[in-house]
Amino acid sequence: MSAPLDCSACLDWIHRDRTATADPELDAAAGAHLDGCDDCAAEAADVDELGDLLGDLPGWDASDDAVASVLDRVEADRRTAAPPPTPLRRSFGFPSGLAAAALLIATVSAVVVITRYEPEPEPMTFKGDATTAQVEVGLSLLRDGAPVALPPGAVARPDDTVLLRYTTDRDGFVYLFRVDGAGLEVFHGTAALAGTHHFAVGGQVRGYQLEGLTGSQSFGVAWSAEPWPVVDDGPLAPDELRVALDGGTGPPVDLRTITVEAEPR
Amino acid sequence: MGRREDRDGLSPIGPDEQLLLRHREGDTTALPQLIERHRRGLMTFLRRTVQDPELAEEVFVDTFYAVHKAADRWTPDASFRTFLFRIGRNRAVSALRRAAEKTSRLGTPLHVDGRPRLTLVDGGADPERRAAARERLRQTDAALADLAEPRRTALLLHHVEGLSYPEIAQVMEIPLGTVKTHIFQARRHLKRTLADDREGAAS
Repeated sequence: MSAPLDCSACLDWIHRDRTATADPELDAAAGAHLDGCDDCAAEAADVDELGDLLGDLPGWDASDDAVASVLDRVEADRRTAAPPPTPLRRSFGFPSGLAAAALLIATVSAVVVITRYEPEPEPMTFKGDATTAQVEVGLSLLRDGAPVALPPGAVARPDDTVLLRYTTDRDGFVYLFRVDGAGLEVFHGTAALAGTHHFAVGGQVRGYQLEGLTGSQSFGVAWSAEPWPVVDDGPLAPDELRVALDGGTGPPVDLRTITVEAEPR
Repeated sequence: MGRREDRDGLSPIGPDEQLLLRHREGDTTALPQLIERHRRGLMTFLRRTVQDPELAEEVFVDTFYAVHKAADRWTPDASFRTFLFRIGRNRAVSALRRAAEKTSRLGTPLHVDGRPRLTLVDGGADPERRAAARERLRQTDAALADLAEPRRTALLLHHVEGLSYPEIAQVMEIPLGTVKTHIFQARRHLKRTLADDREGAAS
């Protein structure tokens, strides 16, 4: 039996770590103290009630879109971190001769079969200077009203809508654009805090409809410290964007390419 | 509830830790499972920390991405939940700081209504009791929002996430005694505020 508790020790017990393993002797001593001390009993009741209230507070699930965004970023990381093809280097010390040659051919053939490298599709490209740490775009599709993943090599349908996410590591202005054989179209510009955002206008997530487009389409994001000039109610891409897309020095940009099939299903 | 430590001081390898190890080794099915297990707990914690739904979603994404990037550095002397919430809390505090800087630069609030909407709670069959229970939760929620961030974080991690005091000390990177003080002071503040609300309603 543990010694009787005074109010100070009882207060410690009331505010104890509730996840800790119970101590039956201490609990019994505290219970005895609470039976005879109105102040401590009231404090204990308050703490218990507060615990119940906090436990009853509503919770929230992260959205499916947020989960998809995490998985997309991780997948993009894995693709860019994929090891290069292993060069086939072997040194053989066989003596010359037909048997040795046959063995060599068989061995090399086997090694080639075993180590044949299957290159990953490369839908994402980073261009411009120091881009990878600064801005990144992620695409998914809205098909028949439901978001679907866009795995490498996937083909979009003309009745799909492209949903864009972008991540920037600093506050500034971001511009979303599309590039195909006909040229470059900037379709959205906004001020953005560092972090991950969706293509949204007025708080509403928007998409880019693919109707009327076929073939290879690239969607990208560019970051700028200052807003781009506006012409005819739309932002005007600076020449530096073209330079960056060609691999030169320019604003941080990131580009992802998808293929749109010709006929709707 | 929080995991207890083994006698050797190392946390046992639970399902979360096994999933993190599998993710580290390249198993692409592990991370979705980890996210699924914590999408509600982490999101609830982040929304109460940053008080803004959109910002909380961004921090959620950043947190799990950071978990992926830091997975190689995780060691089994910390539970995955401690690891996750430490990253989440750091990201949330940084996001709040950035938002505050932006607000002061622009002179306008970025997020006008960050308060969560309350769901219906069961206060019994009596409509008056249900209404009273809802009101009590609303008051609790408002009182929580008024708390300083470290006190609110410590209290929520303990009462809502079920983390032990030592785990909270690891998450918040503060001494154990400070955790106890934060939780004690947070309870005091809530008790006082809720008592004031009760008196206000009665008068």
